[in-house]
Amino acid sequence: MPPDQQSTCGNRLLRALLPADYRLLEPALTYVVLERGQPLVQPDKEIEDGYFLTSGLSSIVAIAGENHGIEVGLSGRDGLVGIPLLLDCDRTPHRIFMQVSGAALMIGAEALKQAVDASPTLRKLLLRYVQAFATQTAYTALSNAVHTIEERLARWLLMSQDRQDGDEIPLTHEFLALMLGVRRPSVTVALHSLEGLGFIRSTRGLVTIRRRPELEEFAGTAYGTPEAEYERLIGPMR
Amino acid sequence: MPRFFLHLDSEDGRIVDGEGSELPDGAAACEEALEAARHMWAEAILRGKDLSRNSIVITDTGGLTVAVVPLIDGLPEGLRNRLTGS
Repeated sequence: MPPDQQSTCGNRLLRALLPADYRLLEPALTYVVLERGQPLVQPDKEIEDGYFLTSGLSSIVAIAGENHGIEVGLSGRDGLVGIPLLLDCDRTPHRIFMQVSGAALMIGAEALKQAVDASPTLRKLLLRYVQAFATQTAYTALSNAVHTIEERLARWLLMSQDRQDGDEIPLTHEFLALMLGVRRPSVTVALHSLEGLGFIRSTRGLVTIRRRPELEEFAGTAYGTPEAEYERLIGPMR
Repeated sequence: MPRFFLHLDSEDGRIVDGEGSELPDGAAACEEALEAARHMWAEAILRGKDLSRNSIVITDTGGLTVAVVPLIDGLPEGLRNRLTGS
């Protein structure tokens, strides 16, 4: 493996590690391709692997029975899927799945635990990520309570774009409804509003961001704080 | 499962649902539209918006209209009767 593997790897968290910590993890990392819809963590089942996504998006969904659920977190190349493993837990009631296909460097749960136990600096960086992620989750709760559907959609689109290259986000309205905790027609109307303002273009299964600065301004307090916190604690997200 | 499209009609025109949803039948599509109407009212009331002239138009994959659900139908009965004068 070339020596600059760490600096070119897509995952921002891996990039932020000390080189020695990266070398500690590196032998246990396996590159995997992840399809849309693929489950990464099943509710109340043992978590066998952690995933440092290098592309694509995963959703952490809190579920209520068979038909209800809402996204409580979004994770892509900024993070690690499998946070409970860092907190001495082997399972979670949440469901985590790929909502935009991509790839990851996968690591076995035991290998991750061993590396974290072996290196205090690795543990500290990954725990700072846990804090950054908890901040994101808190702001999702805040947003669901105080922001309009349009503002929440703007927030969500910005968060998605932060975690990928380019300005096209391949998402169906059905997914967006789950992400925002609203019914399908509300998504259609909200996309129409943002499109009417010229911020995005929405076609079947694809949202294109046309004017990011204006979209950020529109999102207002719905966007920015968790992102700033991530950059303070970890490093560059985009 | 068949696919139904839930468009929103208002004075400003139609907001087209380009993707549709898989639902068991027309009755389920109407129920989905009613549930959506309730959610839209909840948000609209908070924002001081009036949706009483809007409706959800349900079409099938062939573009044929299956049903029209006025958003007023999503309101509680007493309120709906006052608005419609019945």
